Amino acid sequence: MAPVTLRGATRYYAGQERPAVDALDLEVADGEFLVLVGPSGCGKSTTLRMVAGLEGVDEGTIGIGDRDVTNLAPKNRDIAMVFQNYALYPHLTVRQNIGFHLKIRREPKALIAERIAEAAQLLGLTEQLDRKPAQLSGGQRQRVAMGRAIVRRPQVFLLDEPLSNLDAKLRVQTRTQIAALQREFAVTTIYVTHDQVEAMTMGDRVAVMNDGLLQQCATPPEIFARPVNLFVASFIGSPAINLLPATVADGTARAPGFELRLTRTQAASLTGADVVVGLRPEAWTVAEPGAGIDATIEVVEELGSDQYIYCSTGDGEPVVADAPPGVPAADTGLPRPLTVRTQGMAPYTRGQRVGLRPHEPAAHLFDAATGLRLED
Amino acid sequence: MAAETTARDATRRRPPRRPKPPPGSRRYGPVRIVGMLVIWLFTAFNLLLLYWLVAASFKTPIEIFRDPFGLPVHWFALGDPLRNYQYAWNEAGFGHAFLVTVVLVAAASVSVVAVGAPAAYALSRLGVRGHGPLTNFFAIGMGVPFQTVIIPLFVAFSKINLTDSLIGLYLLYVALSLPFTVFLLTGFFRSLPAELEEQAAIDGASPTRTFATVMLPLAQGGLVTALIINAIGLWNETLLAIVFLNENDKFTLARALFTFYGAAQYQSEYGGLIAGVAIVVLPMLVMYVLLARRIIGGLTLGAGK
Repeated sequence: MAPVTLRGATRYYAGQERPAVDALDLEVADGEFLVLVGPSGCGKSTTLRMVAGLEGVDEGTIGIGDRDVTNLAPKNRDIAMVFQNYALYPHLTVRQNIGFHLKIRREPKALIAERIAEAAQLLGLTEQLDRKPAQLSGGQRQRVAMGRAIVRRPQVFLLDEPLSNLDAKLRVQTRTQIAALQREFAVTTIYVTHDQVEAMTMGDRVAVMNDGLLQQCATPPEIFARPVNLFVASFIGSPAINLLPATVADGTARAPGFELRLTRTQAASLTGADVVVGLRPEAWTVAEPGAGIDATIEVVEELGSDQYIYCSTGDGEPVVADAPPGVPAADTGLPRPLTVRTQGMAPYTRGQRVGLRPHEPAAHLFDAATGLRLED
Repeated sequence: MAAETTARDATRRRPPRRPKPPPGSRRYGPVRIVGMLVIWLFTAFNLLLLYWLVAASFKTPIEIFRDPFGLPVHWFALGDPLRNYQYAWNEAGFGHAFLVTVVLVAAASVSVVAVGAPAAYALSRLGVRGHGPLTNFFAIGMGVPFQTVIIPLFVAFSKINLTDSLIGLYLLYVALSLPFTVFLLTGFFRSLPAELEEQAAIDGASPTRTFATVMLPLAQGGLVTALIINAIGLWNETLLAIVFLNENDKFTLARALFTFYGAAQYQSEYGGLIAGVAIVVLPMLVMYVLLARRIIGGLTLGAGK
């Protein structure tokens, strides 16, 4: 058990101008569960592989406990890793897979047997110990991979999208199981995922990455409540936050249908006249047409407990700001409907005209020029 | 009532003998008919040849020429059906040659794979400096017909006293089989997932140990394929054996057959000659039939990824 420290860790891939991971500073406390999240290609897996020692570190250092492990081989780092496809040795039985590391370390046979039995018991694999990976279900394979990590009693667990090969139901179950195991062993854990639900539910802290840069590292509530920039705001939260362009004059941001007063601090830190107002789907009240923003319901998604209505605004103008810096390409420039959460089983229908009133205290304000949050 | 109907339907339902082809596909299109015809003609021709070979190996020369496709009678009638085989095995020295060939081919094929597998692993997985050009260098080796280098090889080998020597022939076999083997196994190792090596590295296994305990067992199919293909190729190899071997007691089967052919013509010992051919051909044929699935599986693995 030890903290993990990355200082200015940078990784270039051959033939690429931009580093895959750029001067990453990150500290994972002893026993902490840190989730690295971001879109594909954001550098999260590379970061994990650098900690594991499977990738070189071009600049900066990586420390585990008080050791500098930057140039240490993976086997000397005292880490265990679970790969996305589990990387179980197909020709070995579950027992041999779990005990492989201990055998290489030449631990006494009795100890190996004891540790394997213990892990198998914990993960419900006792019946499967003599089977080969090919004879196991996806969930069982995942648990074997976990078992292989557990028996080592390492200082750090590294998990690379370990749930992405499971079906939706099993994923939810295993998610809870992994989080519980981590709490039980209190081993420092770095967990990579692109699934923000996993990130928000499992981690003590969440580190959001994009384009090789760390965007924000904070607790899940903090990330959700105070995203530091447009990227984090639009990446975290499902359905995604609504981003509305507005112009500031006399200390008030104005967009068609609503106004928002900037605080003194916000006005002071603004670099231009344009802001982006972020309003999550739950920050709206649906009213009669004419109140707030005029909108037409395009799609109604009924989830039972909640309902999401996707609305276009009256004049068909794009609601979303044009390519604010740092927002994923998929979110830029295109007219996107306003997403509003309403009560489940609400009687809205497609084509209905409504008025949407934003709940102003829930609004996030971003500088349109820099993409950064305007703190209130 | 409804449940009853369902139960009755279930007993009556039978799966079709042949699942229905996708709509629009023609079971007897012109391409298919021509293709089937060619394949069956080819198969029939080869089966006929095989029958002729096996039948003739039990016949007298007169039977062979008078009744080429009939069943052998004479030696069976005399109560000595294996006479031709005994003749070939004892008189023509096939017994000794068989032993020599088995040992030589086994040693050479095993050596080729033993040398080729680590080479292929290093070239495909270890990121060795210049692995691309080196792999191509091996591949070029496949493009050089060995017939063209026989004379320089013979001159070189005679200088170091390795002509008329089984050791010399063994070295030649290993060297000449390496390009194909390395090429085959490089593709094979490349198809194995990289995560397994990374996992092994995290587990603390050295590269050598990773190769021996993780990658080799996984490449088993490829290794067996390489072994069998080399064994078949070397078993049938004739030209090098003719050029490099002089003494009867060092002859391989193919070489012995060549000598026997010369002698048997004058003695009209065609039955024995064909029995000799059968001794050369049949073991590899049987081996191939037994292991065909494995060979084809091994050759196409990694091709469709």
